[in-house]
Amino acid sequence: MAPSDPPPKPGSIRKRVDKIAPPIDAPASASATDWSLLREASGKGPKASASREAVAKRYWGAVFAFVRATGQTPERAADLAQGFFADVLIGRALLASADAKRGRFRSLLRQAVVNYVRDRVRYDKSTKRTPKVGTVSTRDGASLDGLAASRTAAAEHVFDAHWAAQVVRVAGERAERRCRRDGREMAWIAFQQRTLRPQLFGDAPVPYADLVATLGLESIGQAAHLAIVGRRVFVEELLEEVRATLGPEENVADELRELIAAVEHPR
Amino acid sequence: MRLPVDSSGSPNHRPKSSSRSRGASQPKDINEETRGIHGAFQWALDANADPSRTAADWLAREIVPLAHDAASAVAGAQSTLEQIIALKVAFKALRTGAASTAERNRAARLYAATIAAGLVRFGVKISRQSDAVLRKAFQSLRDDTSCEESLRDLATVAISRC
Repeated sequence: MAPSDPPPKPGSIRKRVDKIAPPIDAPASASATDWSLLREASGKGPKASASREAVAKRYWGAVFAFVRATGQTPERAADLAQGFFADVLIGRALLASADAKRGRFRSLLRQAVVNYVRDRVRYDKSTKRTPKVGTVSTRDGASLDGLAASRTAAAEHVFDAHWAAQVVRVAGERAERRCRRDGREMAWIAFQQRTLRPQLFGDAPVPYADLVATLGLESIGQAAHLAIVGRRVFVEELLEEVRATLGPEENVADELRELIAAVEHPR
Repeated sequence: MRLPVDSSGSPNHRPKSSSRSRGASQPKDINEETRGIHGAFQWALDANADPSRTAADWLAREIVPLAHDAASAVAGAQSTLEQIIALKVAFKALRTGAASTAERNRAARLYAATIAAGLVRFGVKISRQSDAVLRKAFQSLRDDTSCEESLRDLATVAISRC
């Protein structure tokens, strides 16, 4: 059947869109973090340095949240997180040994953090009687060495939840950038205002009639289609983000289910 | 776009003694931070499982929120004529901008089904296509065994009305 409805009139769409949603000025952040970036970060030179920074920026939140969840004070948690990136990621060249064949990078990084914090706390505890500088303490006096397994498991869960949130954040940034680059700003706006913000922030969905008026569309059907185009771009980026952290034998659906579990049942 | 997951701290600066330091800030409550994120992963899970049908189902639920999927939105008793018309426009757009042949074919079938629904359920022809063209489209829908029975039934009845 031939089309029977006229296409939307472009008009002054660019001006209208820029007014509704100004172009993002954020640089391309650590959005390409995957195994290739990790390999890059393990090398030498300015490019490797930038990659290491990108990796650290991307995973800082999950690492810091994990350490805090083990009961460390904020300052101590920041020290440990900083130490992890300096000592393990760079010092012990974790990134150099990071190999996609070893499976999920999430699991690799999480286990490395668990081991690092446990070792550090154990070491600090052993030298606690004669500290050279200051004292070592946790928020409630607990130490990871003697930490209940349940608390460590809960902290690992927090790590996964922050990891999941970061994946969604990066996917959103990439999707927005891609929509703007491909001239699909209206799709991004429709998706963001109709679906994404309500889903993530609990905002009320912008009524389709309002979107039709704001974007200069002809019908609700057009607006709904735009929202789905935006959602599809977002989901493609999300899948790409998740796949990029998996090994060749890993199933993306399994990883998605684990990430859903991490954010559905925070402890 | 800012998501509600602004992770605490910065990897670039060691924390100062003051708790005002970003690196030393208290993480937000994880429940608050991850609110709604599971829905985004569920979209990805759906799309990964059945990419040719997912967009049409999303579209249908955007316009008929209570519908389970595209077929129930078109053939179900809950949809209004206004929603059927919106679905028609949306499926036509999806057909044009489909990501794959399978998705385009699915959108084309659903497009025809919305016109059939207009005729059968509301007695209204919501297309400017000729009866001959519509009849051909309905026949194709009726004979497509990959489509839901509810859609094929709609097409069967619609054939007799155009």
